[in-house]
Amino acid sequence: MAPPDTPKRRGRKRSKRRAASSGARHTSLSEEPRPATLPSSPAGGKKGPGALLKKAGNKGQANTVVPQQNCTIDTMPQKENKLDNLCNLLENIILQHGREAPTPGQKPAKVDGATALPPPRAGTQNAVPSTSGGLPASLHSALEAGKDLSKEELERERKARKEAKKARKKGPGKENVEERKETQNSGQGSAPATTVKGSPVKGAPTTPVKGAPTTPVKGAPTTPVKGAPTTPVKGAPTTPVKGAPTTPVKGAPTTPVKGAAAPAIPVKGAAAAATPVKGAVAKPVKVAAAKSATAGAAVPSSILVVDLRYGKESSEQAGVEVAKPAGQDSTAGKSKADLRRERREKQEAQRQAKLALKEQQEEQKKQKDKQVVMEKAKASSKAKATGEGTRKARVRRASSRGSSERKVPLLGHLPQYSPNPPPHQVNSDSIHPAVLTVGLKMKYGVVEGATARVISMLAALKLFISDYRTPESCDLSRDMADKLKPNVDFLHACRPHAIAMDNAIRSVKHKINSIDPLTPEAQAKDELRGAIDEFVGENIILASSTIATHATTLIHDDVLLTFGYSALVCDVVEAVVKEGGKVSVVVADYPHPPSGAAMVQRLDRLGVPTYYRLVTDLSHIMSKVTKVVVEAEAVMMNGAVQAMCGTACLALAAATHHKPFIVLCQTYKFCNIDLTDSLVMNELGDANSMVSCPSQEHQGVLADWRDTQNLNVVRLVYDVTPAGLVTVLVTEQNVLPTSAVPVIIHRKYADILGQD
Amino acid sequence: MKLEREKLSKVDVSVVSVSSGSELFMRFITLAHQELEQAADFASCREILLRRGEKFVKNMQESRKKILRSSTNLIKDGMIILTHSHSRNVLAVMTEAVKQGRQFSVFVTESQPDNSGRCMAKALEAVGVPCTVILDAAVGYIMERVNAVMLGAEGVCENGGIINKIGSCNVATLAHMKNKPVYVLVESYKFIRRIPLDNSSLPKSYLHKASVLNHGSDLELEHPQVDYTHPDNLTLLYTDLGVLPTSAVTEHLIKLYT
Repeated sequence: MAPPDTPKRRGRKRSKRRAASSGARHTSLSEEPRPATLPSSPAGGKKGPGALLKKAGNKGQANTVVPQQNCTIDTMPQKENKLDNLCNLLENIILQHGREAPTPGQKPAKVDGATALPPPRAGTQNAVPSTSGGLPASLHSALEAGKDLSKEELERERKARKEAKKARKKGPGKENVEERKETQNSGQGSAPATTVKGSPVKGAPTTPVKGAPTTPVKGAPTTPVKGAPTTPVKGAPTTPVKGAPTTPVKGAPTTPVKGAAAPAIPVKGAAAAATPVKGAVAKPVKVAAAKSATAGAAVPSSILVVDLRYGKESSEQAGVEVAKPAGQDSTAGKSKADLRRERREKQEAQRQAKLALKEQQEEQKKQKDKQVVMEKAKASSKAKATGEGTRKARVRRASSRGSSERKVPLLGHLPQYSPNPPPHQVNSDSIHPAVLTVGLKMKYGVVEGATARVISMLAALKLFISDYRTPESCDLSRDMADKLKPNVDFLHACRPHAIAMDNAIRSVKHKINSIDPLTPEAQAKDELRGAIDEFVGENIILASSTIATHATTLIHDDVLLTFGYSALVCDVVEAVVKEGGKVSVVVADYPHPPSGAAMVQRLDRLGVPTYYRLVTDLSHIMSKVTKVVVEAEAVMMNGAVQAMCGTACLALAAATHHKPFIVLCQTYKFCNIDLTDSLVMNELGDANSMVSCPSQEHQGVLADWRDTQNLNVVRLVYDVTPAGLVTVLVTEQNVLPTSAVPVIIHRKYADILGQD
Repeated sequence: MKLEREKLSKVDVSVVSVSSGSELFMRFITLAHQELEQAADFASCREILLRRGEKFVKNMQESRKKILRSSTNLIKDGMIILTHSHSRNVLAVMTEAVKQGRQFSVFVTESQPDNSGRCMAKALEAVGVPCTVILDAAVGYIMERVNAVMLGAEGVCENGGIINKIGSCNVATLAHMKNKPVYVLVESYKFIRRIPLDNSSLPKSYLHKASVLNHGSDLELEHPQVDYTHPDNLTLLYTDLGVLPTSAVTEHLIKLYT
């Protein structure tokens, strides 16, 4: 197949071939068990539906309604189905405002235990199959594998919880014991590898088999986002939360003998064994929890902890020392002891199995973790507050959640890329299935681009609003805002919010807050849904057509240069062609993923002569081009434009060749932040996609980049073009200079700026 | 009103200022939302519009005085100023400076094709300012000796750039290259809601006189009367609203139009 760097031809067939070839390359080279279909499918030859997807997203219409198919990864023609699913989602919103749609029997197609949905959930059916369809094969298998484990753990957790409840009724001393057990259970449940790393571990990397999703966090929805190791049992007293990793540690030294029952259990002994070790260490472990933990209870995690800390201690070593303080635990009553013993046995068996598996991983992880810099999210000077969930906090949470990738120096403050979906609870109401769907779609690139993401997110939120029921004695406005938060956080965990999404969420929250508590629920929900519709209609759909009209005053007979795929630029070209202008377009593209291919297809359909070049050819094409037109993801207060990575190159080249650089942007994407460079606020994308190489001989050169110590592969998603390089900004209000941005922000957001 | 505007556009006047002025005029008189809403009937509406119209005209007439007020300390003793073509605002400011007793000298470009620079020079000498007429082509030569450049404007674009007599672009660009400040003295009714991407995107109605446009000759062969100066080459705008940086124009226009 021809490599992608021989452009210079008309785009249509070429792009298809190239796209197809790049799709194939992706699947063959990808090192991770990346889905063969999903992420590369935007790159894959079927760009059309992807483009349509965005078009649909932008125009907010369902193009065609295709009957639901039973979705499996193999049988589904991916793009078509995704488009249809999104269309269905939107259709549902538009046509069936809040009405409960009948449940199709397609739930089984749904994937993993981790994302199992309660069947009677209304309005989710369409969301559900699309999610199942949308999830990558690898994820599927990984989660299946973890499924059994998690179910087990789930049961154990439940038991533990019940007993905790019982214990609590009995008394404080016992309570702690039980808590400790719970901690142990959950501590074990979460990948042992991740529990360690010292006390302040808020952000130990989560592993796929995390089972954390299944930890029965009692109504603490933010935990999955956070970092499960710290929140195995949050619902219970807060103490175990903080020090989940630490309690075992700490438990050990301070409880040489407490509680604990029948000896002669290696487990127990091991705990005790750990004790002297622990004590010797005298690490400044935070003593979050109360003292009385049984040595036995402390065992499993402490051993794990020990292992991880020292890296060398084997289970045998621990086992050897096990025998010692076994006899010391004699105080607890027999029945309780029996219970405890049983539990411990179970834990021990489980733990042993896991340890064998994970030991090596732990070693590796330890090395990597040493490099981890847990910096605070370096948000910009003005945090974008959205009620409780400020962007800063969310980013901090997201970066502390960590990922399986190692951190790049200097970019540790950016949200890291993780190929796995964020953990979340099973059997919990906190995340609406539609939000789940949308989140996963955004994560895997099905829904791409600020506008499309905003529309799909708002569609999901409309379903959420429809399904929301005010609990007794609660204000709708306050309660809904609370219930909204985990959904928003989940979306952020899937893929960090675009600034446009933040703006949309802020306006939704503003609307929610302004609901009079006396309004009846149905009416309030109608108001909210109407407000969302208005937001989309005014700020996106209408704005886009107005922008197209304004842009026709600027573009007449021109050779335009644009970057990647942008629905708005397509609209503008369409409008210019309608006015009778003679326009031809050069699409500059970055090959990973080649979103420009879809652009070329779409423009071609308009009858516009289109050329497809790589962004590296800029210096050659700039002299032949008369104007440069791009769409922005966001515009900052100082006029700087945030767009897909690569746009700044176009701006620089345009300035050098003195070509006007026109930026198209709806005003809802304006934000209150000042940015002067691309590193402060950004997002790290999938570095793996950059590593593939078209030519046969160099294919595997970077295949093991992850293991190479001094090699960092970085894929930034956005870049920032300084205001001075932008000639004009075309918004729905007018054709403006960049100095007008703060004026517009103050006028448009005057009422909610105060909440920032 | 629109008819009157069209009539005016058929005459050979500075189209830019006329169009911007009349746009702003119409905008201004209809902007009295609250008053208009409270007005009982058509007669009182009409009254309101008329009153606002008069106010606007009065503002226009007074704007030159306001410019004088904001630019009192612009010209200092010993300054050598370069100016281009014939601008009444610049003339007024210089006259005022002479009245205040400042000593300065002026270079004026000849400003072809209508030699309006010579008119300016004559007017300045009448006031008592020592001035020299230079060729348009000599701007690069003289720029080193100059301390500041003062220009008028026929129109100010939304991004702060100005539309002025052909040749202003040269003057401003060279001044910027040599790090000389460029001051533009302009009334606020000349602000227009347009951002030309570059000189080639100026509309024909600005570039050529009405008589030429109506004549039907090939416009490619006609010399343009105005050109567009990029805001990067300008330092400050002295207006009746005060001393503004180029980025403030859009704020004023947004406030007025929305």
